[in-house]
Amino acid sequence: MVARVRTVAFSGVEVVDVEAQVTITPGLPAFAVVGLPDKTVAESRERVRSALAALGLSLPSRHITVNLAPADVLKEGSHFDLPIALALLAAMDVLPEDELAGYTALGEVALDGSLTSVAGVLLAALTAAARQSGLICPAACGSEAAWAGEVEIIAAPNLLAIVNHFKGTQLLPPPEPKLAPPRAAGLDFKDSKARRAPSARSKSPRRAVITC
Amino acid sequence: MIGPPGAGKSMLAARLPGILPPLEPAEALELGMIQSVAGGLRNGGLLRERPFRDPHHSASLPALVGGGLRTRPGEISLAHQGVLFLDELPEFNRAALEALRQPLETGRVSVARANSHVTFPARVQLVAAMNPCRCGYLAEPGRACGRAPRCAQEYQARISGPLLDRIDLHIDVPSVSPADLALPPPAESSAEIAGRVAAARARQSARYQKLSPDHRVRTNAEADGELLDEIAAPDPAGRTLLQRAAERLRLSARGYHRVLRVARTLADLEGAATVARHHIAEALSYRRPFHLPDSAGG
Repeated sequence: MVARVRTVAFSGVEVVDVEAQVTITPGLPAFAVVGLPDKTVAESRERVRSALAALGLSLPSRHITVNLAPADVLKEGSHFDLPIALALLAAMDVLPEDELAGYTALGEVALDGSLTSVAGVLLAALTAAARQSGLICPAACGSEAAWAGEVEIIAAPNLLAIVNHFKGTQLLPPPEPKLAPPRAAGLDFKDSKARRAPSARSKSPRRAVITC
Repeated sequence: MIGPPGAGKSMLAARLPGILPPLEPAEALELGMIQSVAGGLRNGGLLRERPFRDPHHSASLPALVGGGLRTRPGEISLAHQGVLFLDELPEFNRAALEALRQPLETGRVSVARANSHVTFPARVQLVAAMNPCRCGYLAEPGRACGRAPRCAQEYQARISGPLLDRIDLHIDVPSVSPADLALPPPAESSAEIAGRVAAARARQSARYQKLSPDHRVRTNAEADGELLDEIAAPDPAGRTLLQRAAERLRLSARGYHRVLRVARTLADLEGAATVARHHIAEALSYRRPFHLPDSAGG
């Protein structure tokens, strides 16, 4: 059985659809990541293994293959951790796969199973809105994702919260969109001591004689 | 901005963000997307203020226009819808400056690498500051070094003509005399200036909402071709002046259109419906002649 979780790869400000596929097959115990991963993605193996251990789950002693499809697009960035972990959990029957199908996931997994923020969550949320799917992202990025509008967002602090959310034992509240704090209003043209040219009407201080 | 050290060029630029109008929601989302990809959204909050980026002059080409191993947006994209301030312009890497030419014109930057072809939006207001020469005191009697004015020609020649042609407003910032420092502060604060800028912006967006229903054009800077001819048509006196000046100053076709855009903006700031002769004259006065004069006072 192949468990699939949808995620994204970035090419500039464009988004490429990527699917994390996980199979657990009989064979020598191994955990392989294929699909043109770069160093960060290949290392996610160790993070995912440790995060699952933090959940109290050990990896099945069988052959685990993770494929990031399409396999010819270079995958870079740590945000593939979460889709890989979710697909693995689905393959291990911890999460219901059919419910995961309605979500796009991205996020970095820490060794203790908590989710750390990643770049590109706003783009992923906009893509999820276009796909009419939900979004699973780290709690720290929730308010960024909330700007995408009508998307169901699961902004989870850790893997356990996602598992509990899908079980229905602990529902995560949708995040609120947030604005960055305004810039400190320290610098003012008032202290520029500009002598105005007599006919100055435009953004005058820029054409005036500056005396400071 | 050209002026001797300590005249207040950097100080002026640092005050520029205070008078910029806030971002429109669509613009904020566009900028948010770039910052999100670059990992620059702190605490997940979206910016409503226009960005102000001032990279150090040691910036490399990929750092300015984007690229690198993982094709990140460069400073010019991170400053999208805002201000890119290049202090000590001639000290920048020559290749990096020339790379700004195309994005300044088109408002986006296409980064082509062996394994990725990526386009980032990059519509910025470029602000640059420089000294007129290496010692910095070219135009000041008694303070200029013995190599003036030749050193000024060498120093200013580090910036290519095509790049200067894309800069609409050239301003000389003369140095300060001690007597000037004792002057009372000016009456106008950033908040008042910001009000005038916002009013001009509002006029522009009202105009373009009518003329460009698909919202492709939002400001004068984005108006082009027929649309620009239509909105910035000067009155007869202005047209004659512009034509004479274009011949005399040997304005490029781009220069000609840029003068029209600046004049239209000046008219907007004043609240005038049509571009009059004095708007054209003022816009022309901000352009630097194609051949640099041998003193900074030009």
